[in-house]
Amino acid sequence: MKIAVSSSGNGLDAEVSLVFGRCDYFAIVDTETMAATCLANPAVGAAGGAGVQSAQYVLQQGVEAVIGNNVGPNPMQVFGAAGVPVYSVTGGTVRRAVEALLSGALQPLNSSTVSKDFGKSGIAAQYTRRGAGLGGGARGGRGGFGQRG
Amino acid sequence: MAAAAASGSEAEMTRVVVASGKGGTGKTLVATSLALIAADLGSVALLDADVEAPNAALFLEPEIASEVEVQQLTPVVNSSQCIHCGRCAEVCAFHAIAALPRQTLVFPELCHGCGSCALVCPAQAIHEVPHRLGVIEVGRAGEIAFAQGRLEIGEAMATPLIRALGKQARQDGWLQRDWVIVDAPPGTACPVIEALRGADVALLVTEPTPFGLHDLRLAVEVARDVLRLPVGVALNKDGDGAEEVEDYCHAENLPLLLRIPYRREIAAAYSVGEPLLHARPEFAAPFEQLLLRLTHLAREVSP
Repeated sequence: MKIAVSSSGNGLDAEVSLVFGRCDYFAIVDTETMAATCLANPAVGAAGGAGVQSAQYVLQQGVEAVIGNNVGPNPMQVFGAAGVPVYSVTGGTVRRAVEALLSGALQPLNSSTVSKDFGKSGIAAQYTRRGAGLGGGARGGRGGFGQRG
Repeated sequence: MAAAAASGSEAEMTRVVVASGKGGTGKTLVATSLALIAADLGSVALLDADVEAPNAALFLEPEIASEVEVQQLTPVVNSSQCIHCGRCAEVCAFHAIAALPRQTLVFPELCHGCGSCALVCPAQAIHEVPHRLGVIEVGRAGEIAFAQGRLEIGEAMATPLIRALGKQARQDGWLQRDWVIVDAPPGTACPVIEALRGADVALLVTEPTPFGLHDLRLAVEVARDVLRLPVGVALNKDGDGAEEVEDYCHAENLPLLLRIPYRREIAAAYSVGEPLLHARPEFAAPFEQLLLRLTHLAREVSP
């Protein structure tokens, strides 16, 4: 089975990305052989619609399942329409995430784990830097900058 | 004082856009005060372009006479006609369409209404339907011609509504007035650029906090460096930290045109929707001076 994992680097030992639509790479892993191809995410710098674009890109690779850390509502809708299950992990390497899936430890997500625009403006990155827990509703909001195009 | 004294002998309108970068610095406080002073000196229109949360009406209490709906066209895919070629998704600059092997999904909140998808569809499977973005409300507040945009709750596209607000003002002949004051949204993204369209001068309102100064710098980059507008600065909640703003304005050669002290009475009046000039009439003179200096600034620098 071919699966995609949102990744922050190249190779199986890179960390799973904290964001989906704007992750740096997608690791496309063959679960029989554990052979991985890492593709640079074309939507990483998109002004908007990164989740939709990256989900479409991942589906074009012919994957049957997706693993991410935080996956927004728009890519969830795309994967849902395509009938491709999405699994969530809370960290660790791509290799560990794939092994967890194969061991049956992961449950498919029914809905998004974060609100829209979670991965914009490095919000998720700020959360990790502060060492705070990740949660939904991290959107900038008024009083800060409107990033919308 | 007659308007002619302010705007020169020829009846030339000055469009002042009050913007900020950071939200909550006092754009509406300054814009409504400018409009009230301008109404004493001549003729004025106020456009509330902060369409996500228009609040100038809370202070000016206009009577709204008419309402115009603003729409945008968004695509609808006829699944029985779609051949799943994916051309619509390819052409969409905003990734508002996901083309899957057996399904084509539209994300209306990402759509900018350009119509490219319908144009390129070889199967004529896409038609566009109007989608309500919000309304423009037009009326009067005493002598002040008043209009505001109000974005529908849950809508993300503020820019087309702000554009429609500008068009409405032009159609209603408001550009013949001595001044048009625009209360811009916060930030530096597309809605702010649209609110700054046609500006003769930008007044950037800031506060003496690191965030206020940081966002002032960004607002200056947009208004002065990108859009090439004459720029003045107003410092609200003046007090601790003001030196940093002063130093920045001095270094950048930006005129600091107004200072409003950080006072509880001002906040108390604002919190009940009382215009600053009513609560604290001593601000009439500084605001009159501000309006005249902005008018001159617009003349000096613009071609």
